[in-house]
Amino acid sequence: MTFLTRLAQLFLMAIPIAVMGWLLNLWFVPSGVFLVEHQVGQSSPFIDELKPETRVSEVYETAGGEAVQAIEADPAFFFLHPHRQDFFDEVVFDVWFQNESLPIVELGGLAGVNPETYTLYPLHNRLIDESTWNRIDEDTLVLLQREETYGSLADFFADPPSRDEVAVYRTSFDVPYRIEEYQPTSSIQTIDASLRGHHEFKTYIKNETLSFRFRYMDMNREEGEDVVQVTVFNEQGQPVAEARAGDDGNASDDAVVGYGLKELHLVAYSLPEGVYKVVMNTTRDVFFRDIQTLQQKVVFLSTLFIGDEIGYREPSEGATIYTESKRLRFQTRHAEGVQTITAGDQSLDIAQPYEWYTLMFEGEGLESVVVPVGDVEIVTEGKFAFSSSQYFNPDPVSLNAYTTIEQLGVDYVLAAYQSPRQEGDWLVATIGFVAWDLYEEDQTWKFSFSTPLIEELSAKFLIHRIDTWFNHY
Amino acid sequence: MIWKQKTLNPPEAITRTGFLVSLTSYIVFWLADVVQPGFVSRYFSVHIFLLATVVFGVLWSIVLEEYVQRPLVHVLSAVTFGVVLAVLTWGLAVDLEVYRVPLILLTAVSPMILYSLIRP
Repeated sequence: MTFLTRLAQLFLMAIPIAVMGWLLNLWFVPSGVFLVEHQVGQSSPFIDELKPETRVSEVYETAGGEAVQAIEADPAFFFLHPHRQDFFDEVVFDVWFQNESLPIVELGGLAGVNPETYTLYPLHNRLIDESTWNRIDEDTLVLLQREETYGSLADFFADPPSRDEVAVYRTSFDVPYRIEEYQPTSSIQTIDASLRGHHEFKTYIKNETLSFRFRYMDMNREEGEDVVQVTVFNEQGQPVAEARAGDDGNASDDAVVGYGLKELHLVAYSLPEGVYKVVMNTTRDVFFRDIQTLQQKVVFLSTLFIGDEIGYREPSEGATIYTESKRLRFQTRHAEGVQTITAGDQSLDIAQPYEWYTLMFEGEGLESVVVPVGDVEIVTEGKFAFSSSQYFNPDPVSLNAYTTIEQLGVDYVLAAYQSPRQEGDWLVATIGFVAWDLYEEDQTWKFSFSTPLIEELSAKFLIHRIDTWFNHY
Repeated sequence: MIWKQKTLNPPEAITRTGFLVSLTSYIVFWLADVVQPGFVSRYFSVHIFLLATVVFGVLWSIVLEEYVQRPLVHVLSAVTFGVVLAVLTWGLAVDLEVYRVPLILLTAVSPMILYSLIRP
């Protein structure tokens, strides 16, 4: 009896010791891999449910009794809470989904704020998966060929076709862009438009000095210092020049503006011929009122924020932009930004703040778009210029949700993409993010599903599970 | 002199061990969760140990045949608990301003008041 009593006491004492050992194992992750399995509808301390509620359905069960939640509008997102801060090196998701009609679905990790930027990776690309072209899969790359010309990706890279023949998707094509007939000039071009906050553009240099003179105002509408930093990157993505200006000394949100325009001159000598990317990194308090340059080719990338011109000039003159993009989206955040955009014989009413409006083009070539008032954010998959002569497209044609492969007019598609695998009724895509590239706040990462055309097609993207591996190397 | 060996009462020994282990575990796991939020509570509620403490405490009181008073241990425990409560309250009551000091004084003496009310 004594033996059994001692055994029972020992058992009671062993329980919390074993539990503590289990918790320490979960905390220190000695294996380097921490797995969180999550089915939609289940509560988890590591992964939140999909949000916002206005863009996702309630969780329901399929005929087979599996839980499912539908994304019905773009974008839907979720938050991830790793249990250790600055410990994991990689986050890998297995997303179980069904997608009947969306051409491209991607998952993005929040990489920065002000403005919010996401690192996007493909989840499902039906344009590639359903293409009848010859297909080569090697590692994480896919090559589609209209006619079978190359036997492998090594053959393709050893003897690549011209840039005009290739479209890319989430990868780069390393044949450099060159304009044979380009001649430098000494005439100064002025971009006379108010650009608010962070912008990026590309320019072309050939036997000339890179020179951009930015004139700007610090409007002091939000709290915090407003530093302006303009950096030039070469074709290898390496920084080659930089100009920087400090805050005006007013870090408050009193909207008091210093007299006159401030000036920042970016100059770089003896750069080799090529395409250079310029990043204008600053806060939304900074309004670039004009840019003077010697360069003849300047195209802005993806996002433009044509700022209001209060305190600069009245009435606001807005801007005219040129683009080859077939789809532009517009939004204003203020009643003063309500206006009518015109493009050729089309017009688009921006009728109320905080509502996105879409302008579509059918034809080919450059289109001009008149933004009469400003205070408008413009987003596109392509590029913008402020004069038709400045427009150029140094990047290969990009495959996106708004075109088909045939419409691109190319013979090859090079993509960083792995098709999802089939698991029962579900497709499962595996996507990895480098943890250090993700923006972390309060030990939380944000991930967003990009589902373009979901509302236009009245489509649904169904999610069953999101399993997560936190990896530490 | 006649030595009487203390006999082992299995139910009492087991419930006493269960009570002490549960109470100690509750304090240790709760403190671990305070020091590193989520260390325990991401996986289960630390109050499971409190529930076990209550259950084992009740069972122990039922099977207990002989109770030995240890008033010094009781007083020391009440004082220690009062200090811990006062420190916690000081941290949590930042916004109470002028009420902060009287509140922590009240908190500090509350275990002793409770003990004086329930002691036999």
